[in-house]
Amino acid sequence: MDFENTWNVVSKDFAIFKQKRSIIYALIIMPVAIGIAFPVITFFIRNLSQSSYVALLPVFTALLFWFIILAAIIPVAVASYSIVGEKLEKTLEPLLATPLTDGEIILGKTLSVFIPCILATYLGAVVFMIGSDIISFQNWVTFCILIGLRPSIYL
Amino acid sequence: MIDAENLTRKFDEITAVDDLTLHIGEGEVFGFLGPNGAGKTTTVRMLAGLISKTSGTARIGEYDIGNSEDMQKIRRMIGLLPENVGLYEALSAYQNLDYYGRFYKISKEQRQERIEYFLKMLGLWDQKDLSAGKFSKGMKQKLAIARALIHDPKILFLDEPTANLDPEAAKTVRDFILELKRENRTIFLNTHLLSEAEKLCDRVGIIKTKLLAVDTPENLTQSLSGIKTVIQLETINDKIIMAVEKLKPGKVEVSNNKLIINVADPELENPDILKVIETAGGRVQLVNEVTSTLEEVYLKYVRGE
Repeated sequence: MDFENTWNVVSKDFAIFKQKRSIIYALIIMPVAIGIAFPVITFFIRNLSQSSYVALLPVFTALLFWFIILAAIIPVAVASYSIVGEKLEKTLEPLLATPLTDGEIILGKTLSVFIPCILATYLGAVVFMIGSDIISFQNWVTFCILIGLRPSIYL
Repeated sequence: MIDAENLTRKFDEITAVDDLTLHIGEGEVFGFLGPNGAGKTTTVRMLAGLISKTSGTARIGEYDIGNSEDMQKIRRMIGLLPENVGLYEALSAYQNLDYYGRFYKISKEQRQERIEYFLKMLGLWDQKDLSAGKFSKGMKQKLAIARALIHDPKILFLDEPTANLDPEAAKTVRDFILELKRENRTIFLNTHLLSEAEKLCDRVGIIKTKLLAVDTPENLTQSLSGIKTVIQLETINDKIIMAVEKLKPGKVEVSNNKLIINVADPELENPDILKVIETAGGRVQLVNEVTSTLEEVYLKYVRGE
């Protein structure tokens, strides 16, 4: 296994992702929008219902579920370009004629989907946590849960 | 350089390549001719290690295509231009070549040098930063050829390099192949353009699942119907025809004021024929030699005549 070859596959995929607007949207706009929208929603719920912080906890738990959905949606958008794109553009054939091994290709493709997706969800989670911590909780409990749980969901 | 023995590939019940035995020497340009679906691409795919063989053996240099360790070494030796160019359309021409260059562990400076050399040679240097998706078919094809050459391979597999190209682009590609031939690379060229094979190849093989014939284009064309001498006369009459028939019984055809005679050795036989015609009172206007074309040979084999 030559990690230089693997990284070459990953960096090429990143260069392609940069050109595809739909991937940029999926990676940045979706997590950030959810990260901002949810604290704002809870802020209004609290103001309108005059409820206590404790009563808001189930609402947050429900909203956190959206980050699991996000974890399912983003890789689909990214992987469809990374793997199906190679097949569609018929680039697999010349690639297989290089000294690259199958394992290197598979690892490269896995990383090129895993890395941006995990970063995107972290980004969304950080935005969400900072937003909700400032607005309601003033602690870092959910932040720690997200950082701890996220990688296990992807793997 | 390329030695295949009884190489066979089956797809379920269908045999794509049957019992192919072929030897291609170093520096040779070998043309593989055959109709669509004759097994040309399958052969290249097997030799380049993209698909496995069903039976038989093949060696590239001293390495066996059936052995996965050898295959890694073979992949460093060969350059492949597939039927579909397979470029990353979102990446620039330069990035496309650079990406492939990295897999062969070429240093950054050397990659830059080679990419510049090939892109300038193929007239694409000014478009090096343009994404490959914006290229015309001819430009893509040229870029794919440059990609196949980036690691300076000894052996090149070109699968229909001029298919779908306009005549000018096809000529550029052909001239480039001739240039590569001068550099003493072994080239395996799949084509169904017979004129191309005639211009470029040292030897050609005609395949239709089975290999039907292998020889130089000259030998193939001569083997079919030999050489013919066409003599155009001012006027033709029975006396002349009779005289020539007497010299070459059964080998003479008459068409308008032309005599078409099958000869084995034109340099030896033509003077005698002309002498007989002169004696019979004929006045020769023109003497020509014709051989059958590669197209005729190809059709004969492919139709199984």
